[in-house]
Amino acid sequence: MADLKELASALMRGDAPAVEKLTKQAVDAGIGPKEILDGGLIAGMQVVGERFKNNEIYVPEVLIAARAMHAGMKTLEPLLVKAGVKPVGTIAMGTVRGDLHDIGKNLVSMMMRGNGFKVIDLGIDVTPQKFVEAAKDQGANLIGMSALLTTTMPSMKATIDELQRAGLLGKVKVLIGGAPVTQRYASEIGADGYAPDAASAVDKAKELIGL
Amino acid sequence: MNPPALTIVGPRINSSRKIIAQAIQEKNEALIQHEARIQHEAGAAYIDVNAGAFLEQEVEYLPWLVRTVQAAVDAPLWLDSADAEAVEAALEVHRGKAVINSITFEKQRMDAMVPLAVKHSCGIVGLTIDSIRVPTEAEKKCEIAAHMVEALTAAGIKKEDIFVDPVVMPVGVAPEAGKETLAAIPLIRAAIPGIHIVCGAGNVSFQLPNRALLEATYLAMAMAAGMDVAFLDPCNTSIMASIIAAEALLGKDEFCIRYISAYREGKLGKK
Ligand code: B12
Repeated sequence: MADLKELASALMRGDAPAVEKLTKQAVDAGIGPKEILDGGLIAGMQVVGERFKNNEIYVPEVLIAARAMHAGMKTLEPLLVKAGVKPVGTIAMGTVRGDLHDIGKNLVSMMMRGNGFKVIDLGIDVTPQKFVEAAKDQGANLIGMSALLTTTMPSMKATIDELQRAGLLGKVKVLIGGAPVTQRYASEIGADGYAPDAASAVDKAKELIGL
Repeated sequence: MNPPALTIVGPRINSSRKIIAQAIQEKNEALIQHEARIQHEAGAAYIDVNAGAFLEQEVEYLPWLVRTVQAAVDAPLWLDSADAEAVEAALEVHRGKAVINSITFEKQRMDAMVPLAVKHSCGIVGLTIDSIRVPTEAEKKCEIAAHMVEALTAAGIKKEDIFVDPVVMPVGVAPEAGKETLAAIPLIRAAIPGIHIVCGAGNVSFQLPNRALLEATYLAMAMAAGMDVAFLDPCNTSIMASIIAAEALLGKDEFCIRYISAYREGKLGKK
């Protein structure tokens, strides 16, 4: 197990070449892909998320950890698919209509991936219809909406209304965030959850789908 | 001391700051006027006013800010708002030549704001953002700027009233973005002579420690690249010290006299 600890700490340092090498070594040593994912990559990413939440590290340090995660996933992904390992959940993430800010959304997506979620990235300026389609046609069981402008927050409500019309509300869980968004606003518009940062977003997503 | 060659826009009266939001709500004229005065005295040629935190009341608060600030300082203002109604109400009461801050190259926002700029023959800030995306690449920024300036001049706005903002992004989250904006400045200068180029570097350091150091360094680099207007807090002495140094280094301070006098006045740090 020692090398999974080392893998986790390489990820925490953002050392992509080491993560790639250690992942391959773990595979060669006969450790299952799911175990490598959980005990190495995700374990490391959880610490990164926690430190970021506590303001102990800066955004660039999260970004290099995510890059290192990616280096390990290149090896692991095909093995996970072959072994039939399912993602813990599928979340369709997007910045809402009229809003072009995507840095926060991308960080949340990274953290979600880092914790075993499949992320469908819908990009920026995402219309309510596009969110609904992602839930209907791409099998997302969670929707994550990001808004950074007070003027685009109403687009979140519009998406929830659209989900309601499509009969998806309740079946698909809605998670919202972004600097001006609050828990109070989330409750007001009937979103299932709110989180103030990328690490809490993962906890909340897991809670919403009963993990 | 001579005024700096760089035109400074003072950003402190912004409703995203808690004390300003509170002052606006309480109609605290004294606080707003103090903020205006200290920026003007520290070298701001323009004072930016923003009431954007109040969605509903912006149309009432923005003109109030204009009247309040101009009762204290004799300076033109930048009307920092995305709401055409609020901008119109503010223009009605503004003395002198205001600047609308800002538009993007999107039909809806152009249609709402450009006629106001024409009617009041005021200045206008155009961000290099179009309806599709926020480009990072220098070439793309320049392309948007060129199209936007073409549309603005066709509508009757003079080139010297146009301020192109090539959009500075935080390097802590978008590491390539810093150098692309710097590269865009000379491209825009060459492609569109006669306009102003304005940058605000407050965001460049977002999410990183020692923000003033990054901001000051970036502004100095943007000046070297050809920026002539900057959105910066003139009351921040370490940033102002860098601006004065940069002007001396760029040959914009004859015989470095301003640099020397700033030193004597203790404005460059400890003697
Ligand atoms: C970078 C930036 C930009 C960049 C965006 C580049 C990009 N690719 O994203 C550019 C320069 C293009 C830009 C443009 C504009 N911007 Co801007 N921008 C910012 C800035 C400086 C940082 C935002 C950011 O990236 N933060 C970093 C990330 C990591 O934080 P975050 O987004 O909050 O995300 C975290 C949490 O909120 C949460 N989270 C985020 N999303 C989600 C989603 C879910 C589901 C969950 C659970 C959690 C979650 O987790 C994240 C990580 O911990 C802010 C200032 C600020 N203090 O926030 C202004 C700011 C957001 N912008 C602002 C404005 C006004 C604009 C413009 C309208 C400017 C103009 N005059 O035209 C345009 C609008 C363009 C548009 N239509 O969207 C205002 C908004 C004011 C308001 N209250 O509405 C701000 C607050 C600046 C200010 N003080 O005035 N901007």
